[in-house]
Formats: sequence, structure tokens, C-alpha cells
Amino acid sequence: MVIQLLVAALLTGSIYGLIALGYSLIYRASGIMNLAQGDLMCLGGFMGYTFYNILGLPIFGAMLCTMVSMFLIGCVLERIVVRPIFNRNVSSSALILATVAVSYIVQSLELVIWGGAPLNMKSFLKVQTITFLGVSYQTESLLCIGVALLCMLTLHIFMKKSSFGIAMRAAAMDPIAARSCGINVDQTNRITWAISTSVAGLAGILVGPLYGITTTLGTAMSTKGFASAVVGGYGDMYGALLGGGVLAALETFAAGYLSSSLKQLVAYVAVLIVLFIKPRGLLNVEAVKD
Amino acid sequence: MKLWVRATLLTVIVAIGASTVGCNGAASGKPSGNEGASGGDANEFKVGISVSYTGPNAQNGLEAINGLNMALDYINENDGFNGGKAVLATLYDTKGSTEEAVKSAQKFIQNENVNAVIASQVSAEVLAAGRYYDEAGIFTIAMGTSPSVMQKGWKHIIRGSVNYDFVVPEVVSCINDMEISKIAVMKDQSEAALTFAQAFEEKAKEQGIEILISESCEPEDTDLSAQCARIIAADPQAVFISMTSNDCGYFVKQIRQYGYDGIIFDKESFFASMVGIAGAENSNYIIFANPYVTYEKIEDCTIDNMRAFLEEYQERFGQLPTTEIAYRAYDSAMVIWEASKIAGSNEAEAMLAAVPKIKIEGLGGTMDYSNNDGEPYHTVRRFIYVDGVNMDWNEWMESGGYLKYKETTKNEY
Repeated sequence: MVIQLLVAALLTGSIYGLIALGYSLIYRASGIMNLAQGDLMCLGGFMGYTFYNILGLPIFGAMLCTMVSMFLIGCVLERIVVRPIFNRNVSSSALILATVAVSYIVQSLELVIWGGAPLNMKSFLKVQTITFLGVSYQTESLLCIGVALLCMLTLHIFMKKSSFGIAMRAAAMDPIAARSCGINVDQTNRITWAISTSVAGLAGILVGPLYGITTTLGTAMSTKGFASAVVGGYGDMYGALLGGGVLAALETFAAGYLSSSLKQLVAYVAVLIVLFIKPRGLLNVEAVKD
Repeated sequence: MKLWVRATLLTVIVAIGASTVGCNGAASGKPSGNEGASGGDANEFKVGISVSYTGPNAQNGLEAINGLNMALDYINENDGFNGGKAVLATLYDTKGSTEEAVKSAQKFIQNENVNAVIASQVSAEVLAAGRYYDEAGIFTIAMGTSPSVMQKGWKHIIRGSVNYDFVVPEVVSCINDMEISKIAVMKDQSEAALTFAQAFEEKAKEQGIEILISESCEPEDTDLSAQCARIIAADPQAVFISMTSNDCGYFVKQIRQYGYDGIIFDKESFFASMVGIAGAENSNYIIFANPYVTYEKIEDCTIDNMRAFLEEYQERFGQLPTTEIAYRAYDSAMVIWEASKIAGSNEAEAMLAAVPKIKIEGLGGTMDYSNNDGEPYHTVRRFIYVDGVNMDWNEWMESGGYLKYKETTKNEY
């Protein structure tokens, strides 16, 4: 049972981590919380359904198309919603409210385009179960974990090794200094939003075959992703991944060894404890100053 | 316009276009109701339906509306309600919420002046809104299955589906007949699921069946990996599921993928929509006792009136119903009609007085209210899902299906 729970925790942690990653990236770049992140994940799920189920693209093609589409949507969001409000030097509350509005708009569009009925994505793989050392595993879970880890690794390399990634990090750390070095901070912010939306979309398509896609999925995942980001250290990419893993492990093992009824209770009590003991998260991340 | 903006717009347009083509149809979230109808008309008989057509239960609600529309059209072709034209009231989405169910009840009563209401298949919604219908004296027929609905003493509410109190003994009897003695239970936290699970566990223990473990989940919680791991670790001979909405399908999919290949007993019909979620190969050996079953192909249906219903449904809506709620709504409308015909009146009190005289052939069998308890079904049939078809359980047993199952799975009891 331990190994099965561990795999389940890794899967859930990967999804939470991807959503939390989006929260942290945007916070670090723009200083705001994007409360539309969960609904953007949901939108990614719906788009993935369209590419995979309806248009019949192969799975990796559907994932790529979803990520590219969500990347472009992220660019548009930043350009037409976030940037104009940000440039008016309003308080961060106004920006957060704007993301709430985006959240509701996205949900409504999903209802109009895809309808209210839950959508079931086809399984990614023909073989649904493999047995190893007497324990059975969902192959889809293993695929999802692999894809999520690959995405995180790619992002890590991009941010650490590529010139644009370094520019993004510089702009996030100190926009004024970055501008003075010739970095286009507006562009890096836009790309940050786009990457954040893209990984949210990837999370959406990954959960599709496992949990189905409904317009209400984003709300639940949004809360979990936000909690993961806070636990790991809000604003830190690695903290987001760590937080996702920790939260998922707490939930899964609490459900496995105590009771499934205690799953949420244990996880969120743990979040509170982390906030009391380490308010900057497990990686001790400094907040973005206004 | 910048290239990236054009590319984004093009992508969004393609996505919208593909989704509209792929997701069109009444079953995909576009309920067809008589929008705008309001006020009373002496030549009309207005029927309201209280269902959720968005969110996780959306498919149930949409199909219920379809089933009701079919029934109302049939009624209108056959002289209506004592000459009064059957009209569907404005649709109000309960959104799976008891609060919204109460609001829709109030709208039906105050704004719509409905003659009758078909109340939700979600018993919790009926329990919340029922007293409003009863106090307003509206003839109400509930599609929910929880025993609690008819225990409230509401005079104006009857049931249009099966009471689970009649299903529990049949399921337990089936378990005994198959010589299974160790069961795991999986339930969600909805009122109907908890009530049924509790009744099942009590009855099972009375009959000497051991409940090894009882797991639960929140409604709409689709990550059930921990519960699956615990159930498999308990090594039951069979699993009993008491779950609502789509949770059922996700649980079956996950427990099968975690390696459980034994019998699964379901508290209600394992809908085609659940098979769609779980996968046909994962849905084998699911047993239930219920008046209604869903079909994936019309050819699998051997019941004449059901087949006629399915053919018309497919012609109108482009696909077969994936849940049994379409049947419940259709039958409920037929019960209302029968009550008005026997009473010779469209007045609620006269129709209610006529209820004990109702005996009609519904899509799930004979609907007989002569017990004067507001319940139409007092016996249920057993079914098992095998190789894509819901088979009669007795036929499966007699044809050696159980022996073949034991040989295939190497499970012994």
C-alpha cells in the first residue's frame, strides 16, 4: 500500500506543483496573485479534450497544442487585462480583482463553448495497469508524473541556462535594474504570464483522463495549488514544486493511514502550521515588496 | 495586428469551432425548455422540472429535460391534460445546490403558477424544497430514491422512481446467493449515498456478511487513490459502492486500474455515462438491482416500450440516454398525466386522490401506486454489466456466467 500511496502522492503533487508554479511565477514577476490560475488549468483541460478527443491528435501533439494555445492566451491576458491595469499604478487589490473577473469570464466561456456536462477524455494509453513486484499501478499516473517532471526540468533549464530565462529572473528580482541593463521587462512579464498559463494548461490536460473535466474543477484545484505555493514559499519556482509534493503527500497518506474523511483536515492544518512556523514557506522566500 | 495576436485569435477560433462541432446537441449543455413561459393559462397544464443542468450532475439534468419534453409532446398528441395543453415551465438550474433548489421551487410557485412539478433526482434537493411544494399544494413527483423523501409526511409529493428501501434487501440477497461473505464499502457524503450505505451495512450484517472496511469521499472528489489502496489492502471478495454523480465512474476506473478485478455491487444502475468514465473493460462484473438500465446500443434492448422510447430519443437528440434519469422524468410525466385522466381534473387535490388508482407500464416495469404509500416500484430486477451489455442477472447465472467469471479471475468464494 505504501508504494501505491507514494505514486498517488507523486501524481497529485505533480498537478498541484504545476498549478502552484503558475502562481509563483506570476507573483514573482508582477507582484500579484493570479486567482484565475485554477480556471486556466480547467481551460487547458477543455482545450486538451478538443485537440485529443475531437480533433484526434496523438497525445503528445494534443499536449503541445494545448500548451501553445494556452501560452498565446496567457500573452493576450497579460496584454489586454493585466498590463493596462498595472500601468495605471493602482493597488494590487485591483489587479487581483481583475484576475477574479478573468476567472469568472473563463468559466462562463467554458460553459458556453463546451457545455455544462462533464467531459471524459479518452485514456492516453491502451494498457491501463502494470504490475511490478506484486503492486499494480495506473499507467496514466506514471505518464502524468513523467510529463510533469519533464516540464519542470525543461523550465528549470530554461530559467537557469537560457539568456531569456536569465533575463526573466533578473526582471523579477529588480525590474528597474533589469531595464537599465536593456532587458525588456514588459516582454519578460508577458512571457512569464504565458508560461504560467501554459503549465496550467498542461496540468489540465494531464488530469483529464484521470478525473474528467468540469467547469468546477478549477475551483478545487486552484485552492490546492495556492496552498502548495504558500507552503513551499510563495514566489519561488522550486518552492511551488516542493509545496505541491508536501501537500499531496500529506493528503494522500492521511487518507491512506488515518481516514479519507481527514484528508482535507490534515492537509490544511499542516498548511496553517507551516504558516505559523515558517511564514515565508519551507524555502524561506522573501515577499515581493510593493 | 501583431503576428502573435493573430495566431492567438486563430487558435481560439479553431478551438471554439472544433468544440462547437464536436460538442453540439441537447445532451451537451443546451437544455431545450419553454423559455419565457410564465403566468397561468386555463387551457394549459404547466409542468416544472427542478434539476441541475450544469456542474457534475449536468448530464442527468439535461437528459431529464429531454425525457420530459418527449413525454409532454406525447401527452399533447393524445388530448393533453383533460384537453389542456402540456407546457414546460421556464427552466431553473439548481446547480446541484439545495439553496438553488429552494429558489427554483419559489419561482415555480410564485412566478410560473405551475400545475405540477417533477422534482430533482437528487434527494437532498427534494428534501430542501419539498415543503414549499407541499405548502403551496402543488402536485409534485420526486425522482429521487432516498427513503427520506416519503417519510416527511408531505401530502402533495409522491415518488416517480424506486425507493432504495426496496433495493437494499435485493442487493444483500444477491450477495448471499453468490456466496460472498466479505465486502468493502465505498460511499460518498451525499444524503442518498449515506442513507443507502447505512441501510446496506445494517442489512448485510444481519445476513452474516462481514464489512471489512468502509471508505468514503467528498462528492466531486475524483482523486480516490488512497481509498482504493485501503480497499485493496483489505482484500474483500466484493466491493459495494454507494456513490452519486460521476464519482462512481471514477472510483470504478481507479480501483480497476489499481488491480482489483472482483465483483462490484452498485446501489443503482451503472449508467452508460459511468461506463464512459470508467471504460467498458473496467465496468465488467458490476451488479445492481434497479427498475431501469441504460443501453449503449438500441439492439441490446429487448423491452418493447423501452425500445420505442430509445428510438425516439435517439432520433430527436442524436444519441441514447447515458443515465436513467431520462426514463425517470418520462415516467414521472406519465404518472402525472394518468392521475389527471383518472381524476378527470387538473386540480392537484383531485389528482392526488387518484394516485392510489394508478397502475401503468413505465419504462422500468409496472408502476403501481395501489399500496397508497406514494411508491410506484416495490420489486426490482437484478442486472450485471458484462462485455458491454447490461444482462439480466438470473440469465447470466443460469448461462454459467458466474463460473466463467471465477475461472477468468481465479477468484473463489
